[in-house]
Amino acid sequence: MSLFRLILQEMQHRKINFLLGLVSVVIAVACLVAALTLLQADEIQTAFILEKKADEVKEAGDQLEDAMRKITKGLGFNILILPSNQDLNEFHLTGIVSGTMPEENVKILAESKIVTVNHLLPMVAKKITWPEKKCEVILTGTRGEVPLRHRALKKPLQQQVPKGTMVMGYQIQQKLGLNVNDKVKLMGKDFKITQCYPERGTADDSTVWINLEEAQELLKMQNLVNAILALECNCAAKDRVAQIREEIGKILPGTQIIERGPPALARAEARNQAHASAVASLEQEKANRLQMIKRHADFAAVLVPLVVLGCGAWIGFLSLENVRRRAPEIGVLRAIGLRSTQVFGIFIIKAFLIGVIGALIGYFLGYGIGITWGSLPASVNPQEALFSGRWLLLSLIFAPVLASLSSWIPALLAARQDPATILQEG
Amino acid sequence: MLLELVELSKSFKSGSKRVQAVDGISLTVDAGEFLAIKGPSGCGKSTLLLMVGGLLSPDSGEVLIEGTNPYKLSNDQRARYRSTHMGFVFQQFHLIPYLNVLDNVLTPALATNLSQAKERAKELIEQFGLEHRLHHTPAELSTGEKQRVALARALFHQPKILLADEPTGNLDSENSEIVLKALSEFTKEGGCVLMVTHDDQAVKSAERVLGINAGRLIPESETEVLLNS
Repeated sequence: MSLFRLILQEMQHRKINFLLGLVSVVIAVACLVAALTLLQADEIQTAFILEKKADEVKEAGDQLEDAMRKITKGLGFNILILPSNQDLNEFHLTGIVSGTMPEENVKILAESKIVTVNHLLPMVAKKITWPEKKCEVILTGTRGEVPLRHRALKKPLQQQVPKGTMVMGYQIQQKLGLNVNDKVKLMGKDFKITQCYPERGTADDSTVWINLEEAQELLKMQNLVNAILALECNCAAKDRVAQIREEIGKILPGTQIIERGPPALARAEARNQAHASAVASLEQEKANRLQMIKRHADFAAVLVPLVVLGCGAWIGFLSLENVRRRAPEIGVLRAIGLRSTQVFGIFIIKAFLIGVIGALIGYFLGYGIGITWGSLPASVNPQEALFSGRWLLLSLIFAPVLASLSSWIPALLAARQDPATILQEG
Repeated sequence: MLLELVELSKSFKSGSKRVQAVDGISLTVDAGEFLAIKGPSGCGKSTLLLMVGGLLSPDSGEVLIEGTNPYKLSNDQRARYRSTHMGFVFQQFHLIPYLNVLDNVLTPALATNLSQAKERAKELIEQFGLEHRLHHTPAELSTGEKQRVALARALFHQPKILLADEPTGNLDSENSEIVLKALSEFTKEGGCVLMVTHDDQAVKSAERVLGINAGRLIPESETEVLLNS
């Protein structure tokens, strides 16, 4: 005869009390394990969805890039209208336009009925030494698009650089260690960097763009421009530049026309934008999934403690009822010589055993719930992916501790019962 | 002298009043003696028995068992002392309902580590003619059988003192006789029995009878009159 045997016999005898206690532990553990398992299933599913989404986005991005390539290819080409006094040889050697023409030319061209040119961008550009940074740059002033009067307003291809802002080429940005939102001074004037271009492998990498009017002021070129960039020129003729030269030559006599900005560059930019859009879509999906997991975790963080507390209280009540029913037994056990610690042990060991059995059943019930309701991708084996030895161990520690703590006060009451009072009451 | 009670007193609070359950009882019991204490219900018999059994500390006075006062021991020491020196038999048997006969007789072994416990239990069960009931639970036993199991449990550790509280209160005459005979035999082996009862038949088995009334012992001469009446 041992205390353990006594406890087992009692559990067998008072099956309802034992089963109700066991059910409480099972519910508490199953709730905890199910919450953890479902959250893990969420994470696995998220990883899978994001991986799949990344593939889809890549594929869609590739398709979009291809479509952009085809579209931009068919859209036309860019030309540069240079002043009559510009030495083209010098321009080709240095990439810099030193000649000037009146800004009025842009207006004349915009008001003409020219059909081969779509977008007009007047600009000034000069190679300067940035006095505050002691660094050579190509300072470009751009006004943004000048609308052609005889056409309906089209969506501008190139955004104007607002006054007080600066757009920076890759090499300059790298060399000076500047970033978006940094404030810089150029020739005594303050600018805020609003954009830094990625590497293009052209003179653009060594260029800073500011507003045309501000550039004209800084370069002392009021009402003058170095060139007019005409974008998306359409011409069906075989020698398309010659036809545009002829047409523009009639409007702006003496100006020189060259083809500018290889179409490959425009296409590359379009592809970059397509890629950036795909990445943003993937990030959005990721953020949505993480938000969903957080919502589930927050819900579990409220629900699980409530269930555990409720089950703990119920186990405590059942233990108290058990102590009350067993009062004569406690009296006689004390009379025949059992110490109060042994009586205490009878109730705590019983609670501990219920905790262990409940932990095992509860873990596998919670695990089953996780497998059933945690919708995992078909390629993932849920039994393997969601089984956790760590959580099983956690359950085997948590449940006996919960049951023992819940039974602590009833067990103390049992141990402190006065056997004389019990035996006198008969 | 095995047991000595010196001016033992105990009172309880009952509402606003204090009730004197045991009032200055002194007596001695020798080894091998069967002492019955007879009195009406509520006269303090059971209180006296619980005090002797080390379960209820007296307000004043001493309980000495072979010169040892169990109330001067710590709780754990007293529990152990009780398990090895005393046996209890109650009117209500107080068997553990979910244990079979063998396990019920073995419950005192929970307090001590007695080797050969099972053999000892079986020996006692056989002695009380219950060997065919070994694996039966109390619910399957007759009242006489239940009391015999309780008696076997009380004798498990071969105590020096057997304290019996109305041991025949719930028994028919045949079973009462078996129990009383067992108590007598226990005294022949050197133990002493202190039985409290109001059963006239049970009293006849005792070697010495004392009356108790309102917590006080009645002198032996007066007890004779009480018994005869």
